[in-house]
Amino acid sequence: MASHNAGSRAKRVGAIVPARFRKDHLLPYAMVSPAVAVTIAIAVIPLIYEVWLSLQDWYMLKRPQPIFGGLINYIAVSKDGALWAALGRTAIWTVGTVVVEIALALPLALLLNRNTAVARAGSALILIPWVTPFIVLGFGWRFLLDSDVGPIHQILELIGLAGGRSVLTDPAGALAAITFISGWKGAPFMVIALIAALKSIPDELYEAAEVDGAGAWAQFWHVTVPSIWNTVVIVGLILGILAFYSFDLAWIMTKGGPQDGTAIVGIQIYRAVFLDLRPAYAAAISVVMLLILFAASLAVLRLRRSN
Amino acid sequence: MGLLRVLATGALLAGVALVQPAAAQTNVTFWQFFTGDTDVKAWRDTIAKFEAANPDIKINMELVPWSEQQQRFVTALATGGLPDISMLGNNVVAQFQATGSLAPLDDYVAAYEAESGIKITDDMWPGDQGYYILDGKIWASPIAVETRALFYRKDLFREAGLNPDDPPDTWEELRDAAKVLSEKGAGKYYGIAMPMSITYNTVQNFMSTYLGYGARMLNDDGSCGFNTQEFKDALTVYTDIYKTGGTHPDAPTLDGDTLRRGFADGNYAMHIQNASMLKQLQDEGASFVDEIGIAKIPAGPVNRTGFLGGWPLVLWEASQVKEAAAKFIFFATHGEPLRDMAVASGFLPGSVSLAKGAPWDAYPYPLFVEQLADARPYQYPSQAIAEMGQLEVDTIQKAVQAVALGQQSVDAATTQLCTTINEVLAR
Amino acid sequence: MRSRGATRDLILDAVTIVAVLLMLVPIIWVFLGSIKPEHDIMSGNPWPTRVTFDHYIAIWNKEGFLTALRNSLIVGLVVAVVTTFVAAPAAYSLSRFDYRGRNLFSLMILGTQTLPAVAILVPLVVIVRQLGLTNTLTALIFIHLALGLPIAVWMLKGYIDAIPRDLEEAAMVDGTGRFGALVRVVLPLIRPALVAVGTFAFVLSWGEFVIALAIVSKAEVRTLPLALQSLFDPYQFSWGQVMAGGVVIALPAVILFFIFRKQLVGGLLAGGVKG
Repeated sequence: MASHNAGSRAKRVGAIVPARFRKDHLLPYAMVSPAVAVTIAIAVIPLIYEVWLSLQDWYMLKRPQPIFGGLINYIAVSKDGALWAALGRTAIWTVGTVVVEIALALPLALLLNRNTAVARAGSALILIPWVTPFIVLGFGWRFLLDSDVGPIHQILELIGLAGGRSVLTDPAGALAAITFISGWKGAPFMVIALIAALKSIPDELYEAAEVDGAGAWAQFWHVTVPSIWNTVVIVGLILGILAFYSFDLAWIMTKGGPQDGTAIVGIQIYRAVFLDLRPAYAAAISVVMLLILFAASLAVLRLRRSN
Repeated sequence: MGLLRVLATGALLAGVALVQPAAAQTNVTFWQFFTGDTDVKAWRDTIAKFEAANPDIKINMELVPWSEQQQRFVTALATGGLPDISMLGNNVVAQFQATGSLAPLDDYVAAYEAESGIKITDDMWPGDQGYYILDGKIWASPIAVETRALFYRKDLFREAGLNPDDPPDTWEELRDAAKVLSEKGAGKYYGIAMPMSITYNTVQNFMSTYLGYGARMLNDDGSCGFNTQEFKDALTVYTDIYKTGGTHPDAPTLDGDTLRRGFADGNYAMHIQNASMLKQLQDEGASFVDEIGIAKIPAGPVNRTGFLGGWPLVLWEASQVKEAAAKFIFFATHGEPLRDMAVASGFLPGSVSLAKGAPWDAYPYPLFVEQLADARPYQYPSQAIAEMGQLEVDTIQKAVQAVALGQQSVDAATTQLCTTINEVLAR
Repeated sequence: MRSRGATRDLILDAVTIVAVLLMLVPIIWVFLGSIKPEHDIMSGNPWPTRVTFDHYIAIWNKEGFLTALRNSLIVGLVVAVVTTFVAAPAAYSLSRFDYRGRNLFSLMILGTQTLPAVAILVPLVVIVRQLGLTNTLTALIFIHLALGLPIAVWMLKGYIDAIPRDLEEAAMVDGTGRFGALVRVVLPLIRPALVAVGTFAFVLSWGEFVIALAIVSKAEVRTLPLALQSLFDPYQFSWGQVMAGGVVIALPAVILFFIFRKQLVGGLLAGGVKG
């Protein structure tokens, strides 16, 4: 049992043995260096290349090799209305995905955080949507939303959210549908992260709350939520970043349509590189999006509670 | 002193090596797009035959799935790693040729023609010549060609009171027949499996319509040529098929495979598809296979033009072994090797002389072979453009989808289409 | 663990079953589709009237499929283990120490996540080619490390932050060094998080397609997503096989997780059921 005594004893011990302090001086760097090395190799170096590339003029159909172009790509980005529209849609898509993930994951995590056989089996099975390839899920969901034979379409029709045609034929409906599917696919990871977080809440906190007369709902609100809040923020942020660049689902299910209703940033970047053959322009888009995303991430990080 | 000796020995060895005849094998990398077991085996057989006749050349086939080709090639263009030979989608030959990464085949054509007696350009379908002969040079050698015809269910025609021996001949007749069939089908089946979505399938079907109405994608000056009454009429009649209920309500979002599957499952009375459709129905033991009729692709008021699909072999400029590679290209794209592959894999050969012979003189092929004479590329009558790869993906389809869903009028959609096309061409 | 009786458990179990089933509806459809004959797949009836395992047999026999499975397993497992081993000390370092460069490092590591694979594709492939590592699993493993590292570090940091320092300091008083404190005190406490992080790294690697596509062109080095893509042959398209492929890809991940699921239970501060 941790107590004040151990803490002050440790401080006194540390003051008496300065040699230990010297050895520890390098330890933090040593411990973090493998991660930093990977980061530099995989992220920093390519990023430097991307920035260099974004300053080149390289339309593969006109030039086999890039030549220096200065800021032309960035000027083009600022004028690209379709891109900024895509950014707006991507914001909706990203936030929507995370909201769906949390909404689905929280009840599931609470249900699966028990020690019955059903809960144990369930927590493994729940992983499946996350590990199934997008392309297979694309088919599955298209069928479910098919206006002829799709069961989910029937339900949507009953509650008035769909007409005689699949929701995928409507730009707003298509965006809503793929946002939901994206959240559904990512929820399993949030479930696991939440189960891990729930498991680390000490029993004593609940016992204390119970003693104070708090019911189940109050315990949830005052013990559970604060304890898992930081996990929700961090995991939500990571899942949000993953969603931001994702393009598989939108491409497979709607190819960015109808009428660009589901054209999100990931699709624009893919298009620029592989279909339009403008890798330098794509690099400029990536750099701009990176800055926006980084700024947004910092803002989200502020939502964390300090311990 | 020691260093000089090392250098001298080195130079001697190098000199000896240069004088030696090249006894080493020539290795040729070949990216092949078909991953089905039969296709892979067919290619292996062709390679074996070639290597038997050319023991100093080894062909290394790598399987690059069709759907990955664009990503693979563009990445390789940017980072290196292109193969010596590969297949290529017929409509992007111009795109890669414009990047300067393909090698023209003309130098090697002469050698092959002398040896085999086949005149290459005579053996190429006119539509293919439009795709593969650019700026007066030959950039690809066709393997397969594809065109589509109208498959229809005679039994369902009878049920709906239509004459099964008089299938729709024009796009307007098609639209009307589809409507009647859908009404009779009342949810059990629809008139025609026709895509209105942002997929390749849509433009592959719709191109027959706009070419049939006499519209053209590009004006002689190279700008967008769609802003004409002919195109708008074509767009109207095509999307009317959907608007009058002739096809599935989700057609604006269904992809080609779903529609093809639906026809094979008996959910549609008509479908425009290539020759392999019949074989598929036979292989699957479809109950209605004896009721299948095949008619020519519908005509427009100006002409009847079919979709021209297919793929060639190309030689990449970065290759260090062009002569050996070109030998294989011509070997595999003509004569017996091609015929054997085409039969095994079930495609129509890109060689005119072969396509007119057995086994393509038996039902149902003659109709498709006949149509090949009038099958054209998207930009007919203009020359193939490098930007087609970008335009084919979604520009025209967006217009079709918008009009079908009632999100844009024909005029608005056409104007926007031309704006987009001109914008892409201006890059 | 507090339990208010078997009835409560039973009711919650029932609710769990319903919730999980609802969540898995599309998956169930895909699985059912994989055992139906081709013709029946798109029919209105979700339940199979005829059952066939032809699609699975076809996949199994498909050339290179088993190789792809093996490759994906190797890459995934190595990535999971290495990611956890690299992330844990890094997270501990960022959490427990205060030193120059700490904030820079933590932002750098998080920043890695904000790069899209498509954007870093070209430079990565160039580097891989220069190093002569095209078509190697090594290159893939190294790059996949970066996929899971940011979240691994940040998640673990979060869990470590929540652990009171007193526990480690008590251990250090007894003579173990900092590193020992990490291994003996902190790691066991965050075992569930380690499992979560390893799972995440595995799954990200397992399903990764874009980078694999750019680096791998030879059949022997293919991973499962690439093998699945090869099922989409335009002329031999079989829905049943695609669905079977999807099931085969999803299954090993689930099985592995099932094995390691026990690690999610336990830890000194294990909490009970609330809510």
